[in-house]
Amino acid sequence: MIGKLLRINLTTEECREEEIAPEQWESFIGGRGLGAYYLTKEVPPTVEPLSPENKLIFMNGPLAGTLIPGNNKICVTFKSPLTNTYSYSLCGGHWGPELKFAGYDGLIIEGKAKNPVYIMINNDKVEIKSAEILWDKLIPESESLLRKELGDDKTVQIALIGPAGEKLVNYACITAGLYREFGRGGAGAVMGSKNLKGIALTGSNDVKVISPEKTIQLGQDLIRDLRESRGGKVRREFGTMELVERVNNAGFWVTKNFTEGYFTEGYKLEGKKMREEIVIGDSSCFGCPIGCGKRNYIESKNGEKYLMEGPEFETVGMLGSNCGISSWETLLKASKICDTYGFDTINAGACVSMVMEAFESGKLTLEDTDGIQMSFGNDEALLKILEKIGKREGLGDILANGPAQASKILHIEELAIHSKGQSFPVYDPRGAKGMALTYATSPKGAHHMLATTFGAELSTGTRFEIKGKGNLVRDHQFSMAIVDSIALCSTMRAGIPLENLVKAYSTITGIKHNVESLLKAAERIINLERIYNVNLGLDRKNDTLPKRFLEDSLPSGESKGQIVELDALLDDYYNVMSWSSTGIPTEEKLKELELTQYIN
Amino acid sequence: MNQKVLVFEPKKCIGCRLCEQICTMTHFKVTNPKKSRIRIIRDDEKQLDQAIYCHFCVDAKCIEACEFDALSRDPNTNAIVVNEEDCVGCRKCIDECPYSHPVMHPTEEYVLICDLCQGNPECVEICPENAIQYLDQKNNSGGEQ
Repeated sequence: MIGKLLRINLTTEECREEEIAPEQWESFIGGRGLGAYYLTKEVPPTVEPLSPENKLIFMNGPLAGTLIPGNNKICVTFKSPLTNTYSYSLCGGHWGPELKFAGYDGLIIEGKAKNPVYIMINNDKVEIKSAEILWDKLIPESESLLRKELGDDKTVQIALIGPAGEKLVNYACITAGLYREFGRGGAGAVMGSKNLKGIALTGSNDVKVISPEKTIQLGQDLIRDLRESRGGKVRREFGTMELVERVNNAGFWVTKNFTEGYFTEGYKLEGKKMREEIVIGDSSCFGCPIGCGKRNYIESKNGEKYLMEGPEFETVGMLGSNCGISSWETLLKASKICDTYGFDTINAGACVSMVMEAFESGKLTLEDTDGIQMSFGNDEALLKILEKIGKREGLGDILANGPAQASKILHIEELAIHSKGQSFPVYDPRGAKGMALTYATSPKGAHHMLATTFGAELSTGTRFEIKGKGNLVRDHQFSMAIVDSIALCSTMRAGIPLENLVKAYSTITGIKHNVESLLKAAERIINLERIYNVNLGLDRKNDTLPKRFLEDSLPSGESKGQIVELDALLDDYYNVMSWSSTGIPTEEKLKELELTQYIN
Repeated sequence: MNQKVLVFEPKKCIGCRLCEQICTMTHFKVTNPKKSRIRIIRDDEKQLDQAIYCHFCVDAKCIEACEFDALSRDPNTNAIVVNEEDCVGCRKCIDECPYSHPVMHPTEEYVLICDLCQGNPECVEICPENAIQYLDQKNNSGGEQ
């Protein structure tokens, strides 16, 4: 059953267990929702993101470790050094469930260690140990050294930062099991600022459920539904790369720093091509019958071998089409650099393409780029600059700040594609207006998973329309807040409708929620996330997109001629959310959601 | 009589570990990988998931090694049966098993060995990829037994 959290203070080296009150589970569901609750309660908006006062709040969902498929996501909530706002990030794999088997639903890391350390949690035995020999090491090497130190126990699940996290790259990741990340917003830099290299977990606690018989039946039914669903089958075959064809052909796939929406070489990167050319196997996270992870292998012309999980759709877009690159060999190498140094491929791709556009238009020269010919389509340039970001060398040191800050230093602000400092992911919002609203209103800056409306917009033929997008985005935001708080993988939406998710939640926890009450909890979570940023002084003026999307229409392809009519979209959305015209939740709304005590 | 055995094919395994979960749900009514009689070990460098499971050896070294007569053969399924009362957790069967299959119960003093769920192994039923199958020994031509 659900209940406990472990709090570790790295300054004092104190560890203690705390109960998470049942009413908090009910109000905030778990995962992302409980993260919002604890961050708002414990990390005032004035806290500097890279100071000891910031916290890493890891929260499992209430179904973690059970037989309900896809229960592997764990959410980390923190104040972001990239955006200086509220932030969270979810990670799949096996690390979150292992925390649950160690006996904890949540883990809060606070303070700062004097010297580099790692944490080992073995049930209720918690140790803070020296990580001197792991510091400066790339992630695979650190993982292998740490595993050896822990007796080569293959059941230990390890999350680590790489050199990027240690050197406070603003979009550094925390990596779990080599290929799964808490990817966006710079949780890795927060971990680095605490001198914390890794967290290793093993546990032998039972995960109990109210009714084992019902849980087995429900688990088996959901597994079958997922495997038989059309969406599940497509994901099984092509992983997230199934999206390339749809998004590129509709003319809103990031191309050359969003100067275009159709990548002419995109056909080389479609899911079926990947499957034919480089996939040698499939990989799943804990408890997931889909296996959307793709095990890829290439041998380069000079005999180098690359065997890895991924890259995923976002990486292929941001490092591929966005940089004018269509070679699998380059994309695997580029992805590997980001994975081993430990930084977000999305923000990295945005920084690289920004420099490429500036270089091609003469705004930056070889003098500014450490002598690298930063042109679109230059594979070697991409690899060189990514390595420099990981090492914080030369231009890489500037780009390590993220697109917003780096563009200021380089005087190319008009080319930085971000919202609130977080780079856009691959969907050009001019080609699906719901995505524009999603990016603009996200509390963590431009991020697609807050509300991936483009699928619904494509299937209903309404992607260029403004009307109804407030409702559409709100509904998707609510649905994602539920999925992220129950902490299931978003892919489970392919075969598990909301009604069945509610059934799973109630069967496992015994908490009586229905669709309506879970939607209310989702609304509470989104409003609380909003309040954190409002308390920082953010409002409508920060819910914005770069000028390119508001004034310059897409030049060609199936989304040709489109711009984003942001003001109309925001008016509609604020209205359906019962927020003021400046984007502040109204008093009545906060009262209804029992959140009045959180606003300053 | 022709016996059936578990056959695991690593190439098919996606590492979802649903087999571990159904194993402990069936036997203990909880999920807990440390109590599972099948264990999936991921090797990220080789991009491979391997199972540790009972191979039901003809000359079962585990039975031979047990000084407390706690292990015997189920005449119907050929599975190794652990008498939990007699097992003292000396770990000799673990040391002798060529496949490192037996595992100590995490909190009790007895070992866990696959009992084939009395002839209907649940791990086989739930595996979404048929990576683990229950096949006639005689006809088994593929996989790693």
